[in-house]
Amino acid sequence: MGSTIQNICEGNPVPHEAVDRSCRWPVLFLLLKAVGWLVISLGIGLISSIKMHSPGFWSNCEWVTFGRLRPAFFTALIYGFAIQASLGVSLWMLARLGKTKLVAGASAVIGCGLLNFGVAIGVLQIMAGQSTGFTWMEMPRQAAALVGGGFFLVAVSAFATLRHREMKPLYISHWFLLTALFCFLWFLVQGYVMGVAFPVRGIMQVVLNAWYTTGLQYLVLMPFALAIAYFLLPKLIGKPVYSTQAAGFGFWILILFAGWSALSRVPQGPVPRWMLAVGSSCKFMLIMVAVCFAVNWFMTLRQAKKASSAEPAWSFLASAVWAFLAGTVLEVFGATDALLSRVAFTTYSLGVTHLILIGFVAMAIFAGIYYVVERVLEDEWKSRGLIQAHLVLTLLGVLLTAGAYLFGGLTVGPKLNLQSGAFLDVARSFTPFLGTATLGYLLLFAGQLCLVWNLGSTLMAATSDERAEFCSWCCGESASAKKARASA
Amino acid sequence: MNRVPILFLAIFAAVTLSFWGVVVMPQLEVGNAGVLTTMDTGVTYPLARNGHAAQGAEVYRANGCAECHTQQVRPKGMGTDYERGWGKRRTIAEDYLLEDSVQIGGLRLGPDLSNVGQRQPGVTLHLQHLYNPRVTVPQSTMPRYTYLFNKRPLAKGEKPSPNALPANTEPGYEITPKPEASALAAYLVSLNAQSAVFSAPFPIIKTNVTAKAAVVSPVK
Repeated sequence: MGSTIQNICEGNPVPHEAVDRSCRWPVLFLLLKAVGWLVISLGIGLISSIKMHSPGFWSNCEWVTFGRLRPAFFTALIYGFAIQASLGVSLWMLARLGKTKLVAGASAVIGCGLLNFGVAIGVLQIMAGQSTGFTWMEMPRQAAALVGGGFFLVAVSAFATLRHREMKPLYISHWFLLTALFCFLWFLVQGYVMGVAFPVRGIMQVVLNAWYTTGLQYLVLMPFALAIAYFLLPKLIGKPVYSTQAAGFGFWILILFAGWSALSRVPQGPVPRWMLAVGSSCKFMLIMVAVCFAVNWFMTLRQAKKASSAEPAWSFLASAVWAFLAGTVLEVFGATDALLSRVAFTTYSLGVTHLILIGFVAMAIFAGIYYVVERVLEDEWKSRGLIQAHLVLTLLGVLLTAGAYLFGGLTVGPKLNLQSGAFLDVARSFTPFLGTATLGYLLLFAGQLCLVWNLGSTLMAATSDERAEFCSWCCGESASAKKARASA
Repeated sequence: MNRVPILFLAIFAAVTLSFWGVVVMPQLEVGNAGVLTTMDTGVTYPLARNGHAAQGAEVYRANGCAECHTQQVRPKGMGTDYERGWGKRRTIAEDYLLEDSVQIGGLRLGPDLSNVGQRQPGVTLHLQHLYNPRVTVPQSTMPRYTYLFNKRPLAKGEKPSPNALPANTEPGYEITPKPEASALAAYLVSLNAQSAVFSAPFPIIKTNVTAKAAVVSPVK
């Protein structure tokens, strides 16, 4: 019982400070760019949300029409922020878990550059009307190739660090990280080859798209977030994770059944019924992933003397865990016949997506960012107040957006799916919920500005010496400095 | 699970297995579907769209219309798609066979468009709706697509050009569709997935024959 990170070390463990210093620039590079994309994506999300209930808003500009902004929002959020920030935190976790310095950091920095170039081109092309038309893979193929190439280069650094680890036993987070690193490339290549380059025909495009979105959600983003959660839990609480076996069981259930659950997302008419039946049954198994995690989480907290931590990462991680449990339950039950017959084609699934993407994945990443940045900069966060503001605004934002979409789906769903009144009434019934979601987006956007401000000021304070050194190297010594040196 | 290659192989095997079930098996079952023959007229179904409407499909995809509109009619008993008049039969795999990029959609903030060409066959009505949805449907929540049109103020007594939208669209202005708008309208008019095919017969919505009366009593 009980897994510990402090296992027997087989090689020469590198001290924590040296590990952190080796990760400093590659990790900061990835995290800074990711936070930039987060603000951009939520800005786009805010405008697109306004357009959902105010159709006249900026209607004469084709670049910001709703149908282009919504995919641009998800592209920037998933590829620009979630994937990139997860990579940043993962590199540091892999180095720390292996008690080794980061290997091939230059590859990660080049990869980060490529990835950002790809996402920027992708988002601009979507807004220019060159979307592929497939959910979450709207980026044209050139942009996707850049994103895939960039991810590969960062993954090279991750795998090299894993290979050179001094501590040989693998920890729970390793399993999830390996899954996410491998699956992203697998799904991206397969999705774009079979969906865009040499597209399958007809309805199979929809099935392939369902496979892609499910893979990205359950086998890339969720494993990244779970790896962060399993890493931070013992660190913050000071106790080892309660049961490695339970974590292992959850892991196997996830990789065995998550892919199959894609079949629950295929349309109800044009494909054989067995697909939906298999899909929703496999999706039901995913509840076990949440159960295994919940067992580990609550039992570990019970073992600890104090079930919380003074670290800023703690509140974010705890919120992420609740969103994960709620989101998984809502997603699983949303695929059952009883609920699907009410909420099909409503904003319900949008609500679940927001809860999982922002409430769980982004919150877990924030916990990672708050934990990692302090260590790689060897300096504390500049403002505790801004961290609190970030937490409160993001929490309220998630509750309002996800809550409004979920309740909107549950309230309007019966009107849409069980009654046959005028459709216009159905469409107008969504409006108050869509308006509430806009308020949520506004809070989310404001919250991320707090993060940017805090990150920027912490970074400036921590790197003041380096910046001064760089300036003197770049511009030569100033006259006053020369005089001071001469007099000394 | 302490060895990376074994763990990696296990992940690879699990994902490959689900790929086989989710993509390969359905590809073998519905991916190889071919064209059908309609039951009533005996013609080939589906027929390829004309070039103009095919261009419109690109405009539909580029502007993300599928973010709010679906193109799927569910089978009878699932939802109320028939009752709303969105189709005479459920949509089948063959309906999407010749689409370059299938825009099936997943959210209905607007009505289903599988058969909108059959419900509203007038191109002008679609163009007016695209320019300002509130002109054709006063309560509509759809955004305006003014960037698909050219707008010019009319001098006093000047008549709009023949291809301009009707005067009530925006009085005092000549509104002419750009090629993208005309193509999109042609695409919308072409949306019609109602051919009678063997695999999806038209369901009987209402009938006067009760189950009891339909039972033939055995001859004594």
